[in-house]
Parts: sequence; C-alpha cells; structure tokens
Amino acid sequence: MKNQTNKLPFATIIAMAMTLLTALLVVAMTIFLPSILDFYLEYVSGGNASYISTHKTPILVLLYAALVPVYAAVAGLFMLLSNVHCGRVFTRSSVRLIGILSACVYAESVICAVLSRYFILGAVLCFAALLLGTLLLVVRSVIAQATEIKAENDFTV
Amino acid sequence: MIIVNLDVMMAKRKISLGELSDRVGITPANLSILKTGKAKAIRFSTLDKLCKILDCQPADILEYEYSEDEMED
Repeated sequence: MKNQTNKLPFATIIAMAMTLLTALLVVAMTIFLPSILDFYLEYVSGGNASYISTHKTPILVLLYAALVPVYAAVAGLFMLLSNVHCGRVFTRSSVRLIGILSACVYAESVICAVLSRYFILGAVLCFAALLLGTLLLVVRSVIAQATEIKAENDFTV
Repeated sequence: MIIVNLDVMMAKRKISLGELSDRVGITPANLSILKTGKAKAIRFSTLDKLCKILDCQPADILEYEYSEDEMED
C-alpha cells in the first residue's frame, strides 16, 4: 500500500536526513581515520613515538572493524525507511531488517568492549550499544507480533 | 484443519464468484481467499450472508479435518 499523497511525514524526512548524514560521516571517517588517530595519539602521549607505534595499529584495526557494522546498519536503516515510505511497515522484511540492525549494534558493543582497553569511553559506548541492541530486539518482537495480527486481519473475510 | 467447501456449494447453486461476492458484499478477491482456503478467519456476518444466499448450513461450507500438524494452544 503506497502513501495516498506523495508527501513524506516529517518524522520520516528527519530520519532519512539523519541516516544520510550518518552515511556521509561514516565515509568521511573511513577516509580520515588514520589522520584523526595520529592527531589523538600525539595529543595523549605528548609525542611519545614508542607509545604511538605500539598503540596505533591495534587501535586503527579496531576502529576500522567498528565501521563495518555501522555501514551495515546504515544500509539496513535506508531499506527500513524505504519500507516505511512505501507503506510496507508490518512485513517480514521489516522484522528481518530490525533484527539485522540489532545484530549490528550488538557487534558494535563487542568491538567497543575491546576498545575500552585503550579508551575508557569504549566501556560506556559498549553498555550503551548493549542497551540499544536490546531495545531493538524488543521493538522487533513487537513489530513481528503486529505483522502476525495484520496478516490475520488481512485474511479475515 | 478447517476445509472450505464453498466451490462445491457454488457449483450446486450454479452461482459464479463475481455474482456471489456482489450479493454477499465483499470483494471477489476476498471471496477467492476464502474459496481457496487461504482465509485465516471468517466473520459471522459473512457466514450468515453466504448461508442465506446459498440456502445452506454452515456445515455445508465449513468442514473440520484432523491434521497431525495442528498444535495445541
């Protein structure tokens, strides 16, 4: 069922704008991450070359690994927003996409847990990601139940 | 498992899907869903109209058959 008018709800516009902005930010991070990390390590270590050389590679690997679930989550979010725009909210596709988003967030929490060895903020982000992942799982269950109810309704004669 | 024998009653009364759907007041698509056994539920009001138009009992349209795949609630 497509929208009766071609006007997008305000919330959907905001969501799409935020998703696009996140996508651009992630692409920028992918390109400028080594430079940002160099700058940060210089600042933290006070120019200690030995500290920078031992910490740079593992942190860079972890940060690039952290970008992979983000890319997947942004792609999933675009597809979910497209479903919402086309009126296909309560479908198995939407339930699956929310499940994928939850999995991406949980993966991010694992990477943040490992990163907390280098940045204390990693522990905070890990907990926040765990909470968000759990919230998404609950939302997925709710949408899955709503999808079942809608299917039953659609096939009630 | 509930089996819908609507096509049998329609053949007996010599009434087409389009005409039956018009007289019942539901879309041919919905009636087709019922006829092909894809319906998950039927309203009493719809069943009442079907029985009135086809001059039959609900048991003439709906039949129960035991199925091993059925799960107890």
